[in-house]
Amino acid sequence: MIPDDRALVARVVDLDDRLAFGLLVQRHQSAVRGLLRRLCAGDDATADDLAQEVFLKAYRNLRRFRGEARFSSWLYRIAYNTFVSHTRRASPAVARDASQVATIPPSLARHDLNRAFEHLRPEERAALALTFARDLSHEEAARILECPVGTLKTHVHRGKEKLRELLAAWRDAEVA
Amino acid sequence: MNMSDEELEALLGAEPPLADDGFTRRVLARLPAPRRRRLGGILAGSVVLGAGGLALAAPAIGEVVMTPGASPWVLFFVILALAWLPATVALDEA
Repeated sequence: MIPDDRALVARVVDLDDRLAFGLLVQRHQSAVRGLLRRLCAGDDATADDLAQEVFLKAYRNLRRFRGEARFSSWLYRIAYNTFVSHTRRASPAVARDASQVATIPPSLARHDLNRAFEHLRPEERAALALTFARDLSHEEAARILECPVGTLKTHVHRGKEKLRELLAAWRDAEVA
Repeated sequence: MNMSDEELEALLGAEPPLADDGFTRRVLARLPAPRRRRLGGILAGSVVLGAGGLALAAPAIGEVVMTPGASPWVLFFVILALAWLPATVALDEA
C-alpha cells in the first residue's frame, strides 16, 4: 500500500527518511512546477529553480506542517511566497503594461496564454492558476493566498477579464 | 472577438502533468546532510572548539582562578563562556 502524505511527512520528521521525502517530491513535483510555470508566465527554467527552492523550504519546515490543510495546499502556499519573494528581488513591477500588447507577435496557442499571464499581477496569476489549473475551491485558494474569499474572487474576475482582452487582441491581430 | 467563459476556463484548466525528468533527484541532492552525520559533526566540532578555547584561555584562566581572594563563581563563568559557542550551535541544529 502506498502511504499517504501525512504518513510520509511523519517518516521524514521522525526518522529523517529521505526516501519518504523523495516520494513526496515525486508525488507533488508536477503540480508545484505547473503552478510556478503559470506564475512565471512561461519562464520554465526559473519556475523549476523556484520549485526546487520550494521543496527545500518544505523539507526544512516540515515540522511546522500541522496537517490541518492538505499537504499540496501547504506546498502551494510556499510556492506562492517563494514566487513573490523572487519577483521582489528580480524587479519591483512584475506585471507588464497592458499597452505593450501590440508589440507581441500573434499566434494563439498555449504559449500565448503564458505571455498573457505576464500582464497579470502576481495575485491574479496565482488566483487563476489555483482555481482553474489546480482545481481548488475559492476557499482553499484564498487560504493559500492568505486573503479573504471576496478578494480572491476579485483577482479571478480581473485576471480573466485581462486575459480575455489580451487574447482577443492577439486573435484579431492574427486574423487581420 | 472575445473568448467565452468556457473557452477561457478550458484554456486555463488544461495542463498536462509534467514528467519528473530528474527533478526529484536534483532536489534530494540539495538536501542538507543527514541528521546523524550532522550530529557527529556538531559533537566533533564542539570538542575541538572547547579544547581549543580551553588551551588558548588556560593561562588567563589559571591566573584569574589562582588570584588570592577570587570568588569560586569566576570558574563558573569561565566554564559558561567556553561552553557557550558549541551549545549555541548544537541548540540551533537540534
